[in-house]
Amino acid sequence: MTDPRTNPAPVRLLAENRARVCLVQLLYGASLLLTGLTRLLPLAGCAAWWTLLLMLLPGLAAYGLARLAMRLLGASTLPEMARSLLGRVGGVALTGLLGALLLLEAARSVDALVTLFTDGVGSRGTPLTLALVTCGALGLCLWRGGLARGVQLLRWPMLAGCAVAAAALMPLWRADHLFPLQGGGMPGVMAALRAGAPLTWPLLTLLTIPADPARGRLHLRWVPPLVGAAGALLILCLTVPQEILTTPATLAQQLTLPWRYAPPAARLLMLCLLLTALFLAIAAAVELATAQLCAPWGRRPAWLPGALLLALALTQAVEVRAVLTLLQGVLAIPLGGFCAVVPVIAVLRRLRR
Amino acid sequence: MRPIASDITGARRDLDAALNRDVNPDMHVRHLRVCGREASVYFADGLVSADMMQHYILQPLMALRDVPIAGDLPREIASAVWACDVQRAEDVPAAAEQVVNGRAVLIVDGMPCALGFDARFSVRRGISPPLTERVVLGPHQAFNEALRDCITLIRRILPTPDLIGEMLPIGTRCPTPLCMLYLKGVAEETTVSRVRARLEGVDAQQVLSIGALSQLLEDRPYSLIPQFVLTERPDRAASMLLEGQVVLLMEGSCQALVLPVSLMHLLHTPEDTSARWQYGTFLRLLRIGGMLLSLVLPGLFAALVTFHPQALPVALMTSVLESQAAAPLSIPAEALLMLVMMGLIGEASTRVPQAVGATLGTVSGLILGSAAVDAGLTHPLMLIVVAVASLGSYAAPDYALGLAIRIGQLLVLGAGSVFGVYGVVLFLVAGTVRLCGLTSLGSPFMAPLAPGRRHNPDLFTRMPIWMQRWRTWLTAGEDENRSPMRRWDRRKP
Repeated sequence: MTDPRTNPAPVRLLAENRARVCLVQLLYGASLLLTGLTRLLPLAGCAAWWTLLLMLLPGLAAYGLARLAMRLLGASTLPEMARSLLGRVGGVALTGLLGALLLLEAARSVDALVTLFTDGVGSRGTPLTLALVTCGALGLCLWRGGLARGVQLLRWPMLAGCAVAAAALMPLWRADHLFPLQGGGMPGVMAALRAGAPLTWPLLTLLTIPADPARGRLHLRWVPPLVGAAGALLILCLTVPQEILTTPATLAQQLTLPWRYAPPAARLLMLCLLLTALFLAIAAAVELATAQLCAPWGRRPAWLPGALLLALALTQAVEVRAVLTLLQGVLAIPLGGFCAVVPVIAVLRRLRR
Repeated sequence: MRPIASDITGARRDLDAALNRDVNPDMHVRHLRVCGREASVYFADGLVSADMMQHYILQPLMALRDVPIAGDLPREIASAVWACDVQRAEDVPAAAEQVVNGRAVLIVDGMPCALGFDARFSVRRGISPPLTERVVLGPHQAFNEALRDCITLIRRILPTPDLIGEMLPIGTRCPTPLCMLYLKGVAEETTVSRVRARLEGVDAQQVLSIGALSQLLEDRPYSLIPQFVLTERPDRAASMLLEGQVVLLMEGSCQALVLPVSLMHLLHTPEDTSARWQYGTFLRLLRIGGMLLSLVLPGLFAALVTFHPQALPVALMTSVLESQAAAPLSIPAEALLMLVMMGLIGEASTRVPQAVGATLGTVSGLILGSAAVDAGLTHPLMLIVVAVASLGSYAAPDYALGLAIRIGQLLVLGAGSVFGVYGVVLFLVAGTVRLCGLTSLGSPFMAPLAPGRRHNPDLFTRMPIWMQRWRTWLTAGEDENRSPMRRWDRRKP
């Protein structure tokens, strides 16, 4: 894809890493937004925007600890550190775990996307048909490459679209919608935190990409998606009254909430933005999962992304939403545990030396 | 390879056979005596200039009729025919090839080779305004079909010895003259060698046009988007040479093929640079907006009306749905019908004589449009949508890109008709990602946007020309930035 003539190897590697950072940022932003819409807003109401920030604290702590351990052990990526600490098997296990979590995230996005259209907006086709069409089109994207560059390119029109959508909602903003600050009450906030915290792990995917020596600041890569998602939730809290936010609703109703009160043109724009973000997030998750699953073998079969996408599409043939939620929660535990333990091991190693 | 026979009878027999003279009446031969020996001049009627033959080849040869020559016969004859470029042919096929390429070939009794005198006469069209890349501001000259003229036009714009024009005939059976132009020191050496390698790797018997050649050179032949620029404007070709790109010119083709390119090269016109930056920016944004509208509008309209009418303003939705109730066709079918009709009008206007074309386009558009509305086949709003979409596709500065947009328009319409906005967005996202995966001669097609590369403020907007100090990412390492263009100070008298 890249031109070796005008782009010598180190520069190319740097550019590829930057593009991969864009992929992870988009995936993380879309994941946070989805979590915000489906778990935080219904439970925490108008407190969702700051609950999101609070919800990220365990994830950020794990991220910080893993960064610290990486610095102590002189590793540039999380899998590299796992390999140096736990041997090849440990490295394979960690990349496998990350890959599985990425696939679960992709499955969650496919589910949201299909539900949004079949139950929410209305389209022709069964959930399975829509999932197959989506995964087929995204498979074509992944087959020939260009996804990371596509995300790099599309982030600017998406940001511009978000700004326009926010401006379109501005007449509906009311500061008193943000009060009471704790939303429906602290039990709701706590429930939202419990439901959302296991979904903050995509943050750790940023640690699988080596730091950019030119731009540095690896630890700030998580800021743009977080600010974006928190900003979007804040705007929703400003626009929609607390009673409506916390009304029990189906997944489709939760997903269509952002544009329920918007003017028609803005509604269309927001729908397109959400769709674009979800399409790209699914493709990004599969691309990153493929990279993680293939990393220990150093070779990437061309058919693997297609096979993974087909498997994702087939999840729509059965009711798997509850299973996905459960698995995401269960698999996040060893990852968080690893990040928590690894600095201790690193410090002990240093002391022994 | 059969060598040229030393005795004139054998040499004549071989050349007659090689040129199929028994059935080829335009392969002429004149017999004469040169230096006291029997000789013959072979040439193809119409390919050699009669004046050149008469005054600069035959007359000097006749002057040598009985002059005894003791030294190297070919060299002495070549120096006598001083006005022409002379090439030796050691064997019969080479001599025959020179004849069919417009040279007059001399064979002399006892001479072990043939001499080809350059007396080529080319039938050429004058320099005329461009047909597909017209501008209001800027030069109005286009390439013609004569390779020599095309090279001259570029050399006049770039009078520098660093402009290299390598001749690389293409085709194994009927080689067609081809010139590869690049600026030494500006074009990357690897770019040049890559183009050369690809040209050498073309194993076609004959390549009849530069358009056919482009299909043999592009990276992804199944992609809808062209990965090269075909321009008929010498100024555009020259500006691309200055940016480190390679220009291919071919005998018989009035376009230059430029490689490698990015999408931005397909979106820019020379007028953007000729006009002041505000006008250039305005025109460029208008054009790009028009092209995007052209691609998306029919599909999005069909998707909205069919699946998401609530996204339309109430008055518009009511009007469309009311007229739709009486219409025999669905919205997607209406859109398809109208797009095909507009495409037909465009195609017919291109094929008919130029004087009739514009009238035909206007009249058929008006009549067919109003007749379709009167017949209840379509809604006036659909006419507007299709007209805007068609105009947008014709606003594309590159003809091939315009065609790609028109095909893409139909694909978006299909996606929108079947899956609504879902289909349209999925198509656009997948299309953008595929576009980002494209390469042109190995160079990323979406550069300098994705991947980000150093560039001038001249992508979607065209900032003042003096701010454009960088050569593009395609240029060689040295000579990266141009010197400041405005060294004067308006505060100083």
